[in-house]
Amino acid sequence: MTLTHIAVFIILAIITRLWKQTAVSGWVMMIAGIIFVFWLQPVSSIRSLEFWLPTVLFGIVIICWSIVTPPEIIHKPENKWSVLAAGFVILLISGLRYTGIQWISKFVNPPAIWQVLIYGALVACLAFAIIKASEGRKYYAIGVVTTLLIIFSLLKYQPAALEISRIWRQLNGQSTKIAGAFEFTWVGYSYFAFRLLHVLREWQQGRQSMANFKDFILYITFFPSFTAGPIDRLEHFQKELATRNSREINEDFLEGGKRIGRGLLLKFILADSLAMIAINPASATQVTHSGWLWVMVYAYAFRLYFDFSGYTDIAIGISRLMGIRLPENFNRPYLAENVTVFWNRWHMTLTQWFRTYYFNPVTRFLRSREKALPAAGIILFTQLSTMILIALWHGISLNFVLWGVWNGIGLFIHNRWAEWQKDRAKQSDNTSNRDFPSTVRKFASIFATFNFIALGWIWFAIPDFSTSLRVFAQLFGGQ
Amino acid sequence: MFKSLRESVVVRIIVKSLLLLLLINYAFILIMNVPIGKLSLYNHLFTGRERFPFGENPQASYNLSIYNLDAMIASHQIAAVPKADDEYRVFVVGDSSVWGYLQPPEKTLASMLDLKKLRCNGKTVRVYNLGYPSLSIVKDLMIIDRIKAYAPDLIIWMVTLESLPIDLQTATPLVANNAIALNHLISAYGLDIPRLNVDNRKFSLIGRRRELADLIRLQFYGLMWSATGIDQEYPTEYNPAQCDFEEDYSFHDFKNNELDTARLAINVIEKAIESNDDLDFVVINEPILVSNGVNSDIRYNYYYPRWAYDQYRAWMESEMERAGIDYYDLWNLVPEKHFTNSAIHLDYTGEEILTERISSVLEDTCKK
Repeated sequence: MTLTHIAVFIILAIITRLWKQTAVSGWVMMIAGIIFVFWLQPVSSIRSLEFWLPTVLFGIVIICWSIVTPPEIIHKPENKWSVLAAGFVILLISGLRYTGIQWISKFVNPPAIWQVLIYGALVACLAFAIIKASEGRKYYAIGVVTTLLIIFSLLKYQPAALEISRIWRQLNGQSTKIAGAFEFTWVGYSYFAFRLLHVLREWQQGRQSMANFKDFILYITFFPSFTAGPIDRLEHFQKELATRNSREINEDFLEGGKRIGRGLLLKFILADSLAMIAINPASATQVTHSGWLWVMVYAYAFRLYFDFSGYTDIAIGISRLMGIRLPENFNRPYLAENVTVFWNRWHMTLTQWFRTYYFNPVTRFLRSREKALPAAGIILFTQLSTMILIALWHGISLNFVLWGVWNGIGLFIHNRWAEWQKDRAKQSDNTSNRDFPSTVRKFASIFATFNFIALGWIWFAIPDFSTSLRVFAQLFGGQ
Repeated sequence: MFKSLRESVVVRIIVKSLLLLLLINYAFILIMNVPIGKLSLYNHLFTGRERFPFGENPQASYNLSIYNLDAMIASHQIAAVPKADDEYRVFVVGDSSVWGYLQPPEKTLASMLDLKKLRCNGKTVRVYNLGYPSLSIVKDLMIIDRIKAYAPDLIIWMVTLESLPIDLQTATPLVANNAIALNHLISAYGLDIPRLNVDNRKFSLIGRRRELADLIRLQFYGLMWSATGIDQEYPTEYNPAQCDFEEDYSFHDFKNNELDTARLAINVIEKAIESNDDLDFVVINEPILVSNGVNSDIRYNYYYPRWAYDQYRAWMESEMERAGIDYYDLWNLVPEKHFTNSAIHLDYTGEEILTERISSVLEDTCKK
């Protein structure tokens, strides 16, 4: 999101909030949301990619909604109008090609309209087939989940992304020699996929979605949180959407304004300033003094936090202007006294998502086995694998895996330490008799936790293993 | 709805904020002469730079071009190095060839001269790089006028013909962005250079936002400079200086192969030296690439046709002699192969050749 995006989003948010008729403002939000998803995609050197990626996204949304929504909701007339309106907006965007207005059409670079019509017809046929196949929906659901995960892997694994760029260029008749992995960038895909996977998993577990199409598409493509979260739950989002005009407008504007202001300060002043001195693959090999290297590692840690939490604040603030409260994503994570608390305060909606759809089910499964593993073994496996999955979400590479392992082991060690402390406390007659005063212990814990996390970011910031090792060596006085 | 908005706290906050912004924006004009650029972390928290801040790709060079003279000097080591009793302080002033384009800080002319640890009248010669990349003699004077406060014993002023046309003097960004300083120089030195208009609106907070942001960015890059010692991007490949030319006799818009010296700002050098009679100056016509390529009988290099440069050399020689200025013409000192990406940028060997020659110039100067 650039400052221009943010300014436009704020204006639209204020307009929708001032519009007292929620039905009309709902339509405005949906249509604007669709347009914004196109607008947010970066202009690609692969012809029409910036049009096709959001268009495919909307196709998946329609298919997904057809799977999880009961027929009585699907057949409501308002939903037919919503689907038609969404399709019409996409067709209008593709029609920009024929307006001759270069500065507008270059934003989305649409293909010939017949290609879009054929694609629309295919999506419609698939959606109809799903609606008719009441029993077979579960197979479609598995298909969509698998497709989402495959696309995810292709986007996050650079050699695969490069290959896709080549193929796409070949299909377009463009030169494949200059294909690059970063050409195949799909802004917002991660969060879009997380929301859809959440909806599909809930449906697979028997929880029906009662969302109409307008609410559903708004939930998936909600423009303030489309690029950087937070990841809301459909049920909560729907509730917020329905009650968005129930609070005092001043309260929402004040709170929203405060969050936007804080977000702008964190992202565009603090994070962007720290970016100049934060460690990166180039500077990591250039530093000559370990003292400055520590400063650069710390700068990276704070830059990452300010950048991400700044964007989250902006998203929460803009949606609050509309009267919608999004879940919090950060809660002073660098003041956490241990790694477990840190991961309960950092990117909270993502960790919550993994806890719900991976950690808890896997733990339950391992515990319920006849030949259950020892408790410590289960904890080690689940924490390590959860953190590795979170790491792979950032990118499929050795260093990301190592970052996951670093944090997974950190969580496991803290878990064992906490258990040991608990046992020790039970055995001890006087638990208040500690070696250190509580304030000293608290600050030492915060300091140790922050440094553990900050050092872990080295795997994250630097893409290759040997440079990362060299940075660790230099930090601790080696060469 | 709108009535309630008028009464709302949000609207009051927005109106008050806008009024406050307007007030601060225009009140900022009142401090336009306050040297905010002197507030610097360099030489305190970070190592002072060995040459002035300049860079087009800050993320790679940890350096950026700024036009605030105070900030430029405050970030330079010269702002903090105390002058020892036995120090003979030499400043080298000039364009990008002095600054050291494509050369690391320790391989510029000034650094290499400094490393020689020359002695002058029983004192140790310490040499500082105060060059700045752009071709304008007024830009050089603007720098000299500021840095003379740092007690130089000698200023070596490297000049070339391209830095002399009067029309080009105020086009260089450092001069164009310092209209007040330029107009002051014109008055103080009696220069025949057109004045620049001073637009007060440019001194509001909004008008100076870019300058202020650059000042802050310069401080951040100070950390990277201290940590890495890098202040320039060194491309692995670059286009070498042009050696083959079209049959082109032109030099700017000078007509009839006649170098109209009235259009050259040589009086800037004379006035500068005359007005600073407490300082010693040595003026050097810096080495240029003398090509042996196609049409090299017409042009020496990309900048100069032979007719213009030859007339310039002869005229410069006589003018400097007339004004009694120590002048050395080193135009063809460095062979063609020791130039990098431009007809004035030297490679390491070129810098070594020039250093040797200027060392002997320094020794001669000390004997006088």
